[in-house]
Amino acid sequence: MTRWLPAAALAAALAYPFVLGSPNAINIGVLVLLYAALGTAWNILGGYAGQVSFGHAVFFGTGAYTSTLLLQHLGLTPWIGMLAGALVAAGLALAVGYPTFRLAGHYFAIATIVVGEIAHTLVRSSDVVGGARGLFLPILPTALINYQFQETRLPYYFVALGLYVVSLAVTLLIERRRMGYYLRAIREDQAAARSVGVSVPRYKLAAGAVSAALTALCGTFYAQYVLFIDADSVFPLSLSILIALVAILGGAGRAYGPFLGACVLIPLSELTRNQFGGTGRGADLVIYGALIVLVSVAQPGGLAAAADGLTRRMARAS
Amino acid sequence: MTAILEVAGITKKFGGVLANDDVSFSVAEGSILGLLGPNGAGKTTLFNCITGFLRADSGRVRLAGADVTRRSASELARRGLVRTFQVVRVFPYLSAIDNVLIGALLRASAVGLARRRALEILDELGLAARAGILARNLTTAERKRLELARALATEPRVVLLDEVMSGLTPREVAEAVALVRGLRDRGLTVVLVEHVLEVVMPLADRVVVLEQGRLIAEGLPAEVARDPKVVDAYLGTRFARSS
Repeated sequence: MTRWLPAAALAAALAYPFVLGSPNAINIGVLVLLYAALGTAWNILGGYAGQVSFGHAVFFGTGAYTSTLLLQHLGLTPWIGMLAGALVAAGLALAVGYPTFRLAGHYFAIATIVVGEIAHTLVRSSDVVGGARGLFLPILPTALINYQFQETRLPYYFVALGLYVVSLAVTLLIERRRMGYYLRAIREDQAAARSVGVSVPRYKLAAGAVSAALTALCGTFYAQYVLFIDADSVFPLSLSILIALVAILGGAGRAYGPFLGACVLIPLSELTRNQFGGTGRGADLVIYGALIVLVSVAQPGGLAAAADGLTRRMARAS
Repeated sequence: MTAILEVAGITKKFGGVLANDDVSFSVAEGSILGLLGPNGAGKTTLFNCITGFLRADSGRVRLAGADVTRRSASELARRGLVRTFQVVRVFPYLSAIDNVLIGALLRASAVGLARRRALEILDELGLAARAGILARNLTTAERKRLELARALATEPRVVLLDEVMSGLTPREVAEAVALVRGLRDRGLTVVLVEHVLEVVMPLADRVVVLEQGRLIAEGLPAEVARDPKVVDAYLGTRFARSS
């Protein structure tokens, strides 16, 4: 039964914008897929390798700013800008990872917060990248090459779906290969991993670079979708935390976990924000908090672990 | 017989405590060396210095003739030197087979081959029936054997076993002794850390004894057991005089 489940999910994802075609429904669909892609990218480092990062907004922002600056200054198509952003983010992950990956457990997590806040402050105070005013993207005619679609938001939905599929495909590729086993070994016990010949720093760096590159792709997408970026929208700590939450709530270290996490968290956040409007700022955070408590008590493996248990029980019953 | 592992002048200080003081010995290829000493003698520190988990302040380690001093633990595993841990370290949330598979990946070119090799080793060590169980749900004895299986999967030339017998029932100890003999019969070199003399003496080809970081005796098990310094270290001066 788990064999056809991914295919069914993909079919449902493809049909979704045609069944629920309202701009609002498409917008929620885009956000769910975007956060699913982000959570899946985070999961490679945070879930499989167990290196919990609260700084992934750095890579998201790097992607958004790289492609936007290349577009503004060189007129480069954001598609190429997106790949350039991924490369820059991967390089950044290697540079930041080299010293921070030596830190154990909580100290690594704290370091990622520090790095994220430094990047946030630097970008906000650098006039060369727009400073606190941010960057408006030039409005271009609707065209695939321009990565802009004005009349309908539908194409954005499919680009977001593509981003998620890429993240998932990379995850599945890693999971079944040497790297996937080595990352899990590092998560489980670093000393034991070293004792059987795992080059721990090398595999952490590899996981960090891949995770950062995939996150940066999403950053470019966000810039093209919203057409305005500033430090507070693409570099904030709250974004880093949400990315981690999507993955952890959904099931860290499980390929499909972040998708489930995004399916629950994002609509909930949008709904509460619409319900409470300006007066209810933070209501979504209260609900996140409650959900985290619920999941950590009832099912520490996340929604994916709960779903696994359910399918196993159903298989036994049938 | 040629020495496959040579340790020369290892010294390691922790603050003011001299954990290892100029320790030297060598291990002949295909033999079992017992590394003995009372608790706190510095056996595990020495192990950590040899296997790349700690940096010795001074001294050298040679493996199969090559200087491997200050090489990383993973590099040493690649060169054929692996260890187990005093407090068992399996990958708790991975299945037994995946634990061993990760060891086998060191030599296998693909995951499928590593899986096959891992199954063979689990079978050899009598763990085949437990292959699918999470390592954390195995018994202590099984987890120790799993750790050994994972180490053997890397196809080592030298294995350093840190108290593989501790915490086992007498029957399990007998099984473990047979297992260690089996390793030597396969041509492996074994360094066995224990603080229980009765286990090591019948098993080891040679024995070295550490006390307070210093090597106080070296030789055949029977000789070393009669050495007054050793008796002294284990039982106290009063018994040494009266014996």
